[in-house]
Amino acid sequence: MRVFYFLLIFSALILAATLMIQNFTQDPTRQLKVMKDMSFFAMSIFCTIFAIVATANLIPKDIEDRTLYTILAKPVPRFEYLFGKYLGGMLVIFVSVTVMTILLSAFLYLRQEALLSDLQEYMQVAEQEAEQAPGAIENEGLDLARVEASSLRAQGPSWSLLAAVVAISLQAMVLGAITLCVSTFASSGLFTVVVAFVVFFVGYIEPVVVDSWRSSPEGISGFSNLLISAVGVVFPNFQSFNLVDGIVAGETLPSGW
Amino acid sequence: MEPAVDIQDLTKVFKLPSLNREQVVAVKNLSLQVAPGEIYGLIGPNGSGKSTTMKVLLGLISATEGSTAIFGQDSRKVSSRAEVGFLPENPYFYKFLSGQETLHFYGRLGGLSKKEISERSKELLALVDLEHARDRRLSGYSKGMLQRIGLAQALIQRPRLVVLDEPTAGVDPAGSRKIRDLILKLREEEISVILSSHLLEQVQEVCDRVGIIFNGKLCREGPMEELMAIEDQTEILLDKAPAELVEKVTALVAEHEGASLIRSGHPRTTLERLFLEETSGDSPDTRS
Ligand SMILES: Nc1ncnc2c1ncn2[C@@H]1O[C@H](COP(=O)(O)OP(=O)(O)O)[C@@H](O)[C@H]1O
Ligand SMILES: [Mg+2]
Repeated sequence: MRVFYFLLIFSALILAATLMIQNFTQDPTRQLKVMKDMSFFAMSIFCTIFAIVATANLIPKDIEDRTLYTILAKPVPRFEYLFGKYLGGMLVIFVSVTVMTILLSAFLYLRQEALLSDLQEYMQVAEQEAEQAPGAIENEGLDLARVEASSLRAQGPSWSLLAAVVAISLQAMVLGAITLCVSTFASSGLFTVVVAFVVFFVGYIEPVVVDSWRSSPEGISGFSNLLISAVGVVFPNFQSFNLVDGIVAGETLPSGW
Repeated sequence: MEPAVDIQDLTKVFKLPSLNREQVVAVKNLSLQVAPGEIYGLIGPNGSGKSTTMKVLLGLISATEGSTAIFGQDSRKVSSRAEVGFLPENPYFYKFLSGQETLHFYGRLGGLSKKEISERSKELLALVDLEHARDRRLSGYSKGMLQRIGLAQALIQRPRLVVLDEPTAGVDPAGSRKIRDLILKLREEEISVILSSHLLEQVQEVCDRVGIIFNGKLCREGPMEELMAIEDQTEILLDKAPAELVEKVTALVAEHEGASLIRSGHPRTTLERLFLEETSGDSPDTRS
């Protein structure tokens, strides 16, 4: 249950975002984009935090309560125990991501419909006016509205959206696995959480830093290069999961995905 | 026939996570066997290595030296755990599960089918007298009830050996009597039991054989009656003897050269005396 408070906060956040954006921008396409951007940001934060917090204490708690002794005293291979714990943690993430995706799609759809019907109304009025007094200026407004409508349609719920959700979930799965692994030898829960966040942070930042470094005019010295490669091997590249920026901008997935 | 428990020269050293490489020798060169159908009591003060021995036997921690086996199967193999049930010291289970669900969970871990579990858990809930609490969450169970659901959990896959670590610790006298009766029922079903305790009266009541462990070493071991017998002493237990008869006997003993009367009065638990004799000295808990 504490997860569900998170979910509640998540939906409240989207709702608040939807209502607030209208005050900041009149551009309907932008409204939807910002809405998606904020939702994915929230979802990604939720999953990252949850992947770490939910898995960090699973095994230490079993050890502390000695439940682990009764479980491993049954003919259960240790790997199965670890894997079962991991799947349990991931199931919670999977369920909450599904709920969040449904909520997001629903909000997005409703907002899109509302904006489209506003546009439609405007277009009807404009068309009537254009019929009564044919002139270049009014037609231009109408064309603009048509373009707006088609770009609005592209911003609704789509399969690309789902791909971003999958990427977020995959990232959570990798992070959860790392956290669970650290928790098996960590001396405290805090240590596990800190290490997991550091791994995530380094893995998230490192590719960006290295890219800009490599493209700098001085280049990189041999030793630093070695260091970077070592970091690259140890820390997973969390940028690989970062489809969100592109998809929010309305890009569709490159074929081959 | 293969022994239910076979521990050979077991030594367990814990390395403490400190800079000066401190070590604790929890168990030292311990060997013991438990025959099929036998009830074996491991007694010793706190910190003497009882729980450590049991954990190695169950493959929960690894031995530093020596080997342990259950019905001939090395404890390090997962399959050795198919025929054993374990009740750890002060066990906690998942508090959010009910008694029934707890048995279901452990039944699945033990490889039983759903149908087998529902039959078996009905049987066991009746055996441990928890039918009235089957749908209650464990968070509302008393200490004695937890211990009994723990015992039921240990028995779920019909193991031929049960390992009980201080099964009556922290349980009130009535509750611990119930647990004792359950152990006696296990004997009827020819299930081997190895249990640890420092409640000596109970050990005396249920065990066929006991081992006294102190500072990680098995100092004395043997069948109950043998351990109790003090070879160079003779006990005469008189029933309804009047005071003057006791006086006569005392006088007779005094006449005899070399013999002496140590004590006369009402008989007491002798295991307790033996226990104190073997384990007097520095207690591991008071060592720095
Ligand atoms: N995980 C551990 N790390 C370090 N020392 C331990 C550990 N477990 C037990 N010990 C030590 O081993 C000794 C035996 O402990 P234990 O087997 O629990 O005794 P008992 O069950 O007889 O009370 C004690 O001195 C205890 O402090
Ligand atoms: Mg103990």
